[in-house]
Amino acid sequence: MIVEKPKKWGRSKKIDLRYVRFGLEDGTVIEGLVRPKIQVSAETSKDWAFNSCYLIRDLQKVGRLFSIREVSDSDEFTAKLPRFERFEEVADDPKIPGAPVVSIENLRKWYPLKRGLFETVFSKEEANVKAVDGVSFSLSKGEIFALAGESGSGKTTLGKVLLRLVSSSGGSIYFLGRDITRLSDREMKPLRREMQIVFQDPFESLDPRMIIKEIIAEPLRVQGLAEVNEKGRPATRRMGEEEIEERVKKMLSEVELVPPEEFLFRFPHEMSGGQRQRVAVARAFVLNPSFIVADEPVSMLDVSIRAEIVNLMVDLVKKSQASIVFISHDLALAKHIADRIAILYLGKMMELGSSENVVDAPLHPYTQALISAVPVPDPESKRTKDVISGEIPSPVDPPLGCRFHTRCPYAHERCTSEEPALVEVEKNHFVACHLYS
Amino acid sequence: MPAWLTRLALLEVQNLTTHYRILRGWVRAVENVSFSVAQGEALGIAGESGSGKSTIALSLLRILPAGGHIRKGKIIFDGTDLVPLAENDMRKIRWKGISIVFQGAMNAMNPVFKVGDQIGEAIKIHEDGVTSADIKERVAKLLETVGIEPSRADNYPHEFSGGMRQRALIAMALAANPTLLIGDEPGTALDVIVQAQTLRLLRDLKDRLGLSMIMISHDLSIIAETCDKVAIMYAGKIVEYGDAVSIFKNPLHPYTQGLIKAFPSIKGEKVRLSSIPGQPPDLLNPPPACRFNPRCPYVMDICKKEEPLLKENEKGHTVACHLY
Repeated sequence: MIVEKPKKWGRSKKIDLRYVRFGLEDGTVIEGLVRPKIQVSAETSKDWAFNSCYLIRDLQKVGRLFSIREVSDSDEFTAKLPRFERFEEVADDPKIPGAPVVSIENLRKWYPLKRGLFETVFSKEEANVKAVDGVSFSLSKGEIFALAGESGSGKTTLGKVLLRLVSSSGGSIYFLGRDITRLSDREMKPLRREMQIVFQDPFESLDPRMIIKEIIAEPLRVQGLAEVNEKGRPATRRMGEEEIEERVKKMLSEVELVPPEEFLFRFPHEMSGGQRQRVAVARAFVLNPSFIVADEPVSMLDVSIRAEIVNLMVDLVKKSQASIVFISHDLALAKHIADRIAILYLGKMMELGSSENVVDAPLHPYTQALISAVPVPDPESKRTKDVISGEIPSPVDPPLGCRFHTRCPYAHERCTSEEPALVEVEKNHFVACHLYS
Repeated sequence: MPAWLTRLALLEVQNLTTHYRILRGWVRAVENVSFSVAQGEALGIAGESGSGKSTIALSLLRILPAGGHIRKGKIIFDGTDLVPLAENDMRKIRWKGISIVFQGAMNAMNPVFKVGDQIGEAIKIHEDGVTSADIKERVAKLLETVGIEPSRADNYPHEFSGGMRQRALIAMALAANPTLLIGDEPGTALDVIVQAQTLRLLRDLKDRLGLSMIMISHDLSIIAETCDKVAIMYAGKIVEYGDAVSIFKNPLHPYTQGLIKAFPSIKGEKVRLSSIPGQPPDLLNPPPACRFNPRCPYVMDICKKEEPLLKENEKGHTVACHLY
């Protein structure tokens, strides 16, 4: 048993076990517990490696390490899990699907409501804005994942929680196999290199007093250059001025702001909205991150240049094999660029599937309503569709049962009392609706 | 002008030219724009930001901001030219003749007055001798027309949701029974479902009250859903004009083609999006001849020398391009 030294203050943390998850060849995931002392290879210094393959001797199966996390023995959820004793590191097996870059489980973000003194004293109930309320998904390498929904559905909050820009109220976030839900800011900093964001409004997300070169160089100055040192370990190094300028120029030409020399010393106000958004994209990609959240990156831009920025981002994602969460209320756009789409409503995931499945054959009544509300650029198809009435209810007191039942044309008794779970109706197409269960 | 354009025109705009005076010269926001709207017809004006669509709306009501001047042209509404009209007479046209639903439902209302009072104010100003009981009754009726519970007239704007505020703005625009309603980006900044509800309401009102409408939007799909006729604007000029079906089915101008392609349709195969390369021009010094020539994929020598005029290509479809 290892007892960690107490950190600054507070109780010492007892680590009895490690919780591991492996992905198998057939796509299933097995979870279990191991003792912290188990060695996985002859080299004693080597610890578990994310995304590597291990032979689990106890089951005689090869699995890819998806995540590992320290748990305490007294945890009630550890009681039911199997324990593994013997492992061996094996060569990478390409047949086993890659580990998810990001995965979240039952993630929640509740914002407590401010209340007056009287209410605080006399009311037992706590009021919360349930912005994100139990969402799970995982993101594989190089995937473009769209989050869609009305305003107030929690998509932006979810994006921020994923990056730990706001803390979560429950659930867990795994990033590259590591549980980052409760890491301190100091522990997060090296990981920030791998996770970046592109904001909605390029007029507000760029510092008006910085020149373009400094805006793009800032992440490089903060994080330094990632490289491998003589001992074969990853390390960071401060970059020299010339090196930084070289890198910034390269990035500017990658986002098609050419010639780069012309843009290096400009201020944001000397550029158009589209050019500014290109700078924001360059800043996000300059550290070669493996995960990016793009929060409505084109909704503030003019129609004729939206496609350029979207195509640019798709190309950069394909080239760098980064995974991207693309937050958008525009389902037509999401369909054309995303691999998978998740539909959110009042902080819950209503439907999840490939972009073709979700848009062309939507299952959930809410998705159907959203899609039929999207205007179609064809004057002959007008005036035929039904529009659902009403607006999104308050997330403070969401409807009981299925959250959509107040607006759903197919609502029946069960919907008002029992909350539907997200179930797989057809392969890789999940829906949370009583019509399908 | 072809005969089909002038038939039964409620509003006829001829060679409208509106410029803004700034220190560096004149910004040529709208140049030589002509179109007409018949009784009960909906015209859509589409284009990117800076193409002059909103300036047209403001010119029609003569509510241009400081520095804006109508330098040329006629706006003939119901038989009278609005351009030389005295300010006092113009006030009688505003709201009773032409009214507007402004962009940005969230900020277009005064937060410190009740919604009902704000709608009532429009009636009080534009009609003489109405009693306050009359006003109250008419406000209730207006709210009902747009699908809001009449008792909500006593609420303040912050108590309304985005969609309801948009509806209240429409009710306000209808307060003095106008014959022409201008919608300046009525759908933007709203969620898809609320946007669809708003567009449906506008269509219903148009059919029920026999309103004429001008819809201004950058979103071609919104125009396709609501309008009978479309004018595509680029850098202050109309480049293509005609009935909606033929423009969407058979876009002629390269700019229109680019704009339609830039809108991913939710129907159909997954495709790579296409865009119009380049930037809209600086309207202080617009490119000579055809203003689209620096961005046009089919640019020819003549495009840089001679300005193309709007010509009828087929019945009810005119285009300003040297290709035709």
